[in-house]
Amino acid sequence: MPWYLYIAIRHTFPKGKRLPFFTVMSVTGVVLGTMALVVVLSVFNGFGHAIREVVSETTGDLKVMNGRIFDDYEEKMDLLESSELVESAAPSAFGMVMLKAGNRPIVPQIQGIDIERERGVVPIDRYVYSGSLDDLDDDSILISSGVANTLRLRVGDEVDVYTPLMIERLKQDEVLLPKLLTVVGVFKTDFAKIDENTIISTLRTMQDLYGLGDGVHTIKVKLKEGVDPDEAAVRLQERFEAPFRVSTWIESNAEYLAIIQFEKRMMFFILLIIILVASFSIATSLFTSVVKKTREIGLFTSMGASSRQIVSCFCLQGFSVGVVGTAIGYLLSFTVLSFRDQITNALFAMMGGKEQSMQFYFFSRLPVHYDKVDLIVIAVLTVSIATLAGLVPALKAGWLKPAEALRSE
Amino acid sequence: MSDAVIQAGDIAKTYRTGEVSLKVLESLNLSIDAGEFVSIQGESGCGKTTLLNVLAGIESPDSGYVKWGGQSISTLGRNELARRRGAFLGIVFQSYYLVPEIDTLQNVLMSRRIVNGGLSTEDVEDAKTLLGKVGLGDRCHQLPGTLSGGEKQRVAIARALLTNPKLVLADEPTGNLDEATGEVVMDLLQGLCGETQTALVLVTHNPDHASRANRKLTLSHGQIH
Repeated sequence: MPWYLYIAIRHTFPKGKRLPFFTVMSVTGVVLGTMALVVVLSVFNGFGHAIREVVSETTGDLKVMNGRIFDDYEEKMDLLESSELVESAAPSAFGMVMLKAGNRPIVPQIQGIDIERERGVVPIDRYVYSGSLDDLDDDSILISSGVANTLRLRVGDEVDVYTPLMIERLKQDEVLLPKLLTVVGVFKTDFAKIDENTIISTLRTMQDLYGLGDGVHTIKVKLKEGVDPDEAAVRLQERFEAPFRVSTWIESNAEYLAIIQFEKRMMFFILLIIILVASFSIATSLFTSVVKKTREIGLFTSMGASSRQIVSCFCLQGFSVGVVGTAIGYLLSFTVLSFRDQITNALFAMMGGKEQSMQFYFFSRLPVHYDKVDLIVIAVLTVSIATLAGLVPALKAGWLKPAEALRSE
Repeated sequence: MSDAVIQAGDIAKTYRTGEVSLKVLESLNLSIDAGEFVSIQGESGCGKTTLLNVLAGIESPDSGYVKWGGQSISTLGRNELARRRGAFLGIVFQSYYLVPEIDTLQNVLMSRRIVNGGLSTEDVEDAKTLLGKVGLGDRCHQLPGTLSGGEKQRVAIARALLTNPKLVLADEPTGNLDEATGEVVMDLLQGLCGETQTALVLVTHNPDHASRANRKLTLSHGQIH
C-alpha cells in the first residue's frame, strides 16, 4: 500500500486510539446526507414501482379502447390473442353507479367482467378475501374492502344499484327500478384507488345496467413474460385501425407517475444540499488537520515524499470519510427502511393522519424499491463531493515548504 | 576523485522579514567524507539548523552549491529532490516527529515505504532488526504516545537508518532528553552509523557528545571554524 493511502487511513481511522473529532463529525455528516438521500429516493421509487406493479397487475399490461362502446370485441380479442406477444385478453365495461344499503348511498366505480377471461389477465381470485369469485352471477356483485367498510356490508347482504340509465329512461317517461344485487365476495388489491370505491359485476349485469347491449368499453391485455409493454403497444397498434388505440398502463397513469418522478428529482436536489453541508464540515476539519499536522507534512517531505503524494494523502482522507460515511449511511438506510412499518406506525400514533396519508398515496404501507442506478449515483456523488472537499486543504498541505513546515509551532 | 559524501561550497543564506534581514550563513564551505562523524556546535540561533536544512536540500541557499555524492542538487525539481533525499540521507530531529496514529514498527517503516513506494516482507524484517538493535524489539506494536522521550528518539534513529542512507543529519537529537538517556541515544546513533559506515553530522550543544566526533566544527558568524 502506498504510504499516502496508509497514512490517510490511519489519520482518519487510527488503530488502538479513539476516533478523531474530525472523523466523527465528517463521517456523521456524510452518513446523514447519504441516509436522507437513500431513504427518500427509495421510498419515492417504491411508490413508482408499487404503482407500476399494482396497476399492471390489476388492470393488465395494455388496454385497447376506441373511446366509445364497441360490440365486435370477440373479433378484436382473436386478433390480439393471435399475436405471439399476448398471453390473454379480457373484455370489460365500466362506469359509475349508485349503491344503496339501508339509508347509506355511495357512488362507486363498477366494472363488468367476463369472469373466466378476466382470470387470465388479472389474478382476481387472489384479491377476494371473503366469499368467492365462483359465486358471482348476474344477480350478484363483488365489493371492495372500502365499499364494505363504508356501507358495513358482508357476504350475503343485498344492495340496490341505481344507474345513469334510469335518468335516461325517466326522460322517456319510463321508470326503471333499481337492481337488487347480492354481495358474494369482498376483495382487496392493496391499491387504494381500487380498494376504496369499486364493485365488480358480470359483464352481462353491467351491460344491462348501462344498456350497452353486447358492447364493452375496453379490452384488457396481459402480455407474455418479459415482453416490453411500450414495444408491444406499438406492434399491436398495427393490427387496429383508428379510432382504436392500444395504450400501456403507464400512459393511463402518466400524470401520476410524472408527479412522482418530479417529486423524486426535487427531493434529490434538496437533499443533496445536506451532502454539500457535510462536505464543508469535511473541508474545515481537514484544514484544521493540515494545520495540526504541518510538522508531519515537513517530516514526510524530508523523508522523500513529493507534493503530489502529500496532496493525495489529505485528499484520500476526504475520500475515506466519503467511503466510510456512505457505507454506514447505506447500512443505516437499509435498517431504517426494513423497520419502516414500525417507524411509520409510531409516527402516525404520535401525530395521527394515517388514513388520509395512505389514501392520498394509494397504498396501505410505505412502499420501498431500491433502484440500482440511484444507489450507484448517490454513492459516486457522495464520495466525489467528500473527496473534492478534501482537495482544497490537501493542496494547501502540498504547497507547504518543508523547512517552514518543520519550523512551524 | 573525492571521497566526499556531501559537499557544500560558498553557501550564503539570509532571512528577510520586511526591512530586517538576518545573515545566517556566509561563504560557508563544508565537505564530509563517507563514514565520517562530524559535530557542529554553535550558539542558539547561529544557523545550525539552517545549515542542516541546506545540506538536506530542505531549504535553498541564496548562493553556493550543495552536492550529494558529487552531484549538484540545485538543478533538481522539488519532487525529484525529495525523492533523492529520501534515498540519500536520513534525518533525526530533536522533537522526534513520530506519527502518533501508527505504531512503532510502522513509524520505522515510513522511511522505506516513502522511498520504495511500498513494503516487502524483507523491509518489515529489516525494521524489526533495527528496532531490536535500538532496544525496542518488544515494543513494535506500541503507539508513540506510550513511549518515553528516549524511546521515541531511538525509534526516530531506526527510521532514519532503515533506508541505508549515505548520510545521517541529526539536529540536537538529545536536546529533549536527560543526560543518561542522551548518552544511550548517542551510543546508539554513533554505533549504528559506524557499523554501516554512514556519515553522521551531529548538531549539538553538548560538548561531550560533540567530542565523540572525528571532526569537531563550530558555526559562528555564518561560517564554519
